[in-house]
Amino acid sequence: MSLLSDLFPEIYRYRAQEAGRTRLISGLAAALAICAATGYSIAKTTASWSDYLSAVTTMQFNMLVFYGTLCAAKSVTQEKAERTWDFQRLTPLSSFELGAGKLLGAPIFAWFLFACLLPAAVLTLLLAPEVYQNFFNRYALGLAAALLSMSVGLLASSYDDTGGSGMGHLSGPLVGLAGVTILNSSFNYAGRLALPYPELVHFYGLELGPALSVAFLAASFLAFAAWAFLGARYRIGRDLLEKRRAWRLPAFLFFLAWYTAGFERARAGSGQPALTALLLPGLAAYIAAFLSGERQEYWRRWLEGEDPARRLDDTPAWLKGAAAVLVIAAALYLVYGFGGAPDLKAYTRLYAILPLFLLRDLMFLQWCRFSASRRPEMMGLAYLALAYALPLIILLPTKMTVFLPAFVPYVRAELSAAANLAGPLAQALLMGYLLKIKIKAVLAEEN
Amino acid sequence: MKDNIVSTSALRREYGEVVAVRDMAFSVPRGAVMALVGPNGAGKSTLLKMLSAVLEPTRGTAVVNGVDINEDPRGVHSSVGFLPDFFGLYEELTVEEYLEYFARAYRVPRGRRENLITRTLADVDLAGKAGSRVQALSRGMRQRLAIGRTLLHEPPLLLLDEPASGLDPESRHDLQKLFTRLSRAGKTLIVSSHILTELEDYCTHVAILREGCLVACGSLAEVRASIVKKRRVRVRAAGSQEGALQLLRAAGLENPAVEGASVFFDFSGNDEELAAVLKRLLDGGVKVLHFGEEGGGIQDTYLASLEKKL
Repeated sequence: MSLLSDLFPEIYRYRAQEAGRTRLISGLAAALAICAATGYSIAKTTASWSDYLSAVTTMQFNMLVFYGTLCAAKSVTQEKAERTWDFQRLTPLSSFELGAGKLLGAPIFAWFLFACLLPAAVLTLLLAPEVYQNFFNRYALGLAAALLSMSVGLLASSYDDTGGSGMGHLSGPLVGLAGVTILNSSFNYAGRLALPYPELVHFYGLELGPALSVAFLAASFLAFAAWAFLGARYRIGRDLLEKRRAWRLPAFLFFLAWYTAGFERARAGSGQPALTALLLPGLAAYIAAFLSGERQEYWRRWLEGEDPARRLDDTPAWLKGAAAVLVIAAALYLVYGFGGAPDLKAYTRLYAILPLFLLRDLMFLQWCRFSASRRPEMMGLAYLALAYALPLIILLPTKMTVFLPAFVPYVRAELSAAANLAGPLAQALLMGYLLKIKIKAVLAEEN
Repeated sequence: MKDNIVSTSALRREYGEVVAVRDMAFSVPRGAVMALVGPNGAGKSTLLKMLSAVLEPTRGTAVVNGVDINEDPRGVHSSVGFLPDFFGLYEELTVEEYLEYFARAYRVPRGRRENLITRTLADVDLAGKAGSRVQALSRGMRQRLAIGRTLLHEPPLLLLDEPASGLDPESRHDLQKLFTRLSRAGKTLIVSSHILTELEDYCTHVAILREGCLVACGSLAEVRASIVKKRRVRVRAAGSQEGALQLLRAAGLENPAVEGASVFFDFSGNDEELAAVLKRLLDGGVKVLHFGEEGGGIQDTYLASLEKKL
């Protein structure tokens, strides 16, 4: 612990702040009382060791996930609200050391309560070895889900610039509730694997057995926890004025596409486009672009930068996101676009239509950022919502659906590919031209 | 250039349409104690934040202890102890735990931590409060603890934004003593403050800011000379002031006149020439009890600077 708190001083601070003697003693007493009460009620009802283990671990992990996520989700927010963040920024601690210190340190009391309940579960395993499968499933999934939920909490906290006010207060409970839902769903899933005809994981055509399915689920949680932590680290690093890295966002989008495509392989092989593998990275690129907030000053510095490597690293998030989605779309088309049923062939146009609309929207967002609006992201979002909703409202009742492909991502098989793509392509080109003019005007004005 | 710990070049910071710091170029010699003075909104806090590399400039740059704030902001942090105009303390920690945390964060080796914390507590006069919770400290003690934190990694440059703000006279006096001690220990201090009379006792340099612009910067004498063209000098002689008045008139000095028990005159020469006036008085048989400038401190210089056009 001492070595760990030397490596991550945040752990030392949280331990001193959160783990006072009175708190530890009352936490331990509460844990013992819970174990005893659960044991008594199980003994009086089913008298099953497996049920006792399930009851204890359900309480243990729900508490860890919810309370731990609340703590992680206010870790950076609280520093900003109490104005201690600037002092952490001045220390030599890197974004990794600060982020990991907060991830491990902020939920320290939740981990203590978790540890208090651990002996009851281990004792159950020793007294009734037949529960081992349930034990390992629950601990693998529970710990992975806890890390995922806490990492997402840290990510939300690092992006919260409200200082913990308003919506900032809600992020912790919302992520905590989502974490608890994922945890309990994964416990239910693991429970159903013991039944006849279990629903096994199919990934890139491979059918995983029950144990591998649980391991896959836990590994997926851990992988996304690592990405969430990297996202939080990136945002903390921005506050620390650390150098950015060009590869992080595209790497995440490629991973997301690869992971999602693993579940869509069978569908995509029959000719239906692997839409989720394109939509999820697209959505992630949208979110990254909205959160990145690169405005005039940033663009001016970026465009005037002399070091090509640094310019590459500092590329605005929407550009990296859009480029990555274009590459993903091209890769999906190359892998899945040439096979399948002829009547579904037209739907492969979505591999071009969706990235074009994404490109248009992200360029429009940047165009808004160059405007004088105080909240350009919100303004951009409102106009984009109108851009999608208005054509539907006008064209559908008037039965002019032939024009729909020009305004919304829509495949009309009767149209030629060129006609179907013309609308989004023209809009993307027009938006690119307008953005170019805007950038020139803004930079000329600044100089 | 080499003995300047801070050197800025066209340093500029904009917040949207507002220019908080406008193309500032100045330098601070190593070991100086610089007073940063100016009204609210002059750009003092923004300037200090940029020098401590917690805020990126819109344009221009600054070199702090040999490190460019744009190229290596993290490198600047190790040279700088920054105290903003708020405390930012962890209320639930004890004073010792607070310093221990920052000593760990500043990567002070384990073997040195205890000594360093003891020494820092002594430096900021909090040795008797090591076990007290931060929330139980008075405002003055909190301020000293915050300064203690800035000293932990032994930076050569301290940037202090309104350190005496809200403190009672006794705490301000303690703080003044602390700054004098730090200055004697070889630290360079840049202190922004509204309480100008207190800065006079320990500041060697001054920078006057207004509306984001640097009105004047340099040693106290240089700035005074650039802003206050004429100095008002008071002479008090034993007995009648008439002899002194006659001699001053004979020397051709401007506006000599008796006011109360002293003679005043305006002087626009340099220090050498002023010393020659004193010698002339003494040689003329005047028993001089007092000979010195009236005003001329930071406050007067600052007030005079308000008349200067930007």
